[in-house]
Amino acid sequence: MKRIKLNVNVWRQSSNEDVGKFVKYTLSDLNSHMSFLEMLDVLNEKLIEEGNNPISFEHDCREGICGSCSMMINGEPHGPQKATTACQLHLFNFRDGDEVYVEPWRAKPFPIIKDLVVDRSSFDRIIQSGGYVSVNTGSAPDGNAIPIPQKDAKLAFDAAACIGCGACVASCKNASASLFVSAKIAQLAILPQGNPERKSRVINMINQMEEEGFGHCTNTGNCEAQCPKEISISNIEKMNQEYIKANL
Amino acid sequence: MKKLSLFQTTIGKKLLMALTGILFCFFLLVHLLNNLTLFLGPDSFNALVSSLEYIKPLIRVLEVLLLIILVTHIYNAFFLSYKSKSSRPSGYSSQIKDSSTISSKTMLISGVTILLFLVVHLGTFWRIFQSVDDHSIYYDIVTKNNIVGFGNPLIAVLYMAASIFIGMHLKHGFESSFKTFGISNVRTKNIINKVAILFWFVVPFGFFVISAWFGIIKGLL
Repeated sequence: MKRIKLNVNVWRQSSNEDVGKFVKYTLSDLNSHMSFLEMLDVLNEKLIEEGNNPISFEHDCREGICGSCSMMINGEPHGPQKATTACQLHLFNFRDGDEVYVEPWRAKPFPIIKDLVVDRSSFDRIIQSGGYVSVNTGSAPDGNAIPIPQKDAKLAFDAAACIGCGACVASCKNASASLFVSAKIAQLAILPQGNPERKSRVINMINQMEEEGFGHCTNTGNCEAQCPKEISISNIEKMNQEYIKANL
Repeated sequence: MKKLSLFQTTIGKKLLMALTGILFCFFLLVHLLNNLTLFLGPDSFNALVSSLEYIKPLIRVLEVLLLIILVTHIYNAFFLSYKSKSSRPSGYSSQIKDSSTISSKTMLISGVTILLFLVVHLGTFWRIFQSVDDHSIYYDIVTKNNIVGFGNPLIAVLYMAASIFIGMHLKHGFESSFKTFGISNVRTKNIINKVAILFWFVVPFGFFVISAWFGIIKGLL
């Protein structure tokens, strides 16, 4: 087990109205097996002991599936390790004495609440606008009542792996939410269960995406490269196809 | 919540950009095929340009259509660029890793450069061609005029540079259009990529060779 020292520059901002800045903290004797969030926990304990304000950062499952731990680490959403959320990023990905820069997602529809915490409720409103399916009430349906080809099930599952963390928006030069919205649309459009609302879903969700103020997609693919769940950009093509069909 | 129509959304505007971009690609292909007659000599080129006089009303209609296509493409490009800026009013303070290609990152720069070139191109060759009565001098205007034609090596260099910018713009633009249309998938991707080479490499290279040959190489021989 290695012990390392890091110079962690964290974006500190008391509210959305405040002008934030990087504050440098030097942390020595860090266990390299520690996760990035555990390192922030250690830093916060230190700050509290010193009577300072701890760093606000969002976290929940710490298992890489909730999408809460949204932060830009050294210019990459969730940090330098591919297909990994910040909570699953371990300090052995850094070298002893490294300068680390941590800042929140930057996008108008993701206003900063405090420090590294942003308000991602715009994603919730997009889901509310159409990211659901109609189901019959009553007893649970039989699991195999609707046969689904294996290929479709796999594509839908790949799209459903999106955890809605917002890394796609954060990494896109246009702050576009296309990868997130398209994954949610494609996931349901591929499956027969999504058919009843197929047209209204794509129209409503894109309408809401526009309403929230996200940018447009220029098909540059940085979202796909930075997505911790490796959601494919082909979902955006599927979304465009669905949107054109719904408007015809 | 106000319901947006197709072309009020960013996806609709991208569709317009993709459609107008593809139409321009085909115009460039036809333009190149015409220009290649320069290699067949003065008689062939002059005869081709003169023949366009017989279908002048059709040419005028096509020119107006091209202008509409161009304005639609440019208007939506600037509108979407402006909207992107407003989607991230305050940028990142640290260096952001961007794995996208150079051609995709520089679409606005290459696009504006092509627009400036187009102004020069229309202000010189196109304008002069409109006022020429002698149908035997088109070839000489292009290849020998030492102010606006390839008789001036600087003009040749300008056209060669413009060809490179067109290639860069289409490198991303052509393939991206099909993604915007939603018809680029695992099956069609290979075909689109191959056709794309014609538009982002072969066509601009053709224009490059014409400028280089008549503006620089021929003078050195």
